[in-house]
Amino acid sequence: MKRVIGSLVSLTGPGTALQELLYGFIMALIFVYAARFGLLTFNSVQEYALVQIGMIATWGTIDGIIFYYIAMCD
Amino acid sequence: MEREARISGLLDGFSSTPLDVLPDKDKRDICESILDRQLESDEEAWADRKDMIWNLVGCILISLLTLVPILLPTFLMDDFMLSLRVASILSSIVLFFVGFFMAPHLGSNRWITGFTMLGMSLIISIVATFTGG
Repeated sequence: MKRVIGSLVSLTGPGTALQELLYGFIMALIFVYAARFGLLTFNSVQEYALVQIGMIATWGTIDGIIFYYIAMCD
Repeated sequence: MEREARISGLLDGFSSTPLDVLPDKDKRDICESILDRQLESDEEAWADRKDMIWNLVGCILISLLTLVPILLPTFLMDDFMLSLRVASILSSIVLFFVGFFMAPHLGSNRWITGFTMLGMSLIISIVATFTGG
């Protein structure tokens, strides 16, 4: 497990890994709190999971593409 | 590309850097000397690009990893609201330990980084929930 996480962090570097984790948790927690405080309602667990996965995958991809193009520009 | 156009591109690239304090002639000399040096080979450029692609994949995978403590309680528990509460507590614990174990890489204190990660993410996510994300 430690080796898997180590190799994942080595792909991006510790700074970017930390940033992605922080962004990911903050975005996911927004939906958690919105559901807890009744601002969002979900008809099923699957719907809730789909919203979380879709949002995280979208933002992870956007971040990755932006970093790729910034590196290309440099 | 013409040499003059390359120099112009380099000069643009160096704008808003410490090179701005140098006279124009010195800046031009620096650009000329860069162009006279051996540039990286196609293989080295491809290796750099491959690293960038792995960086992209890493960003997506690390982001998806954050879903484990968020979604796991939801699938394991019958009470949805209770699972949300457990998910937020689990996320807080994970965030603290992420900061705690990443601190040496960042050259900062373990406890301060852990509590900073925990506090910052909780405050931002609660504020963002009520202000529309």
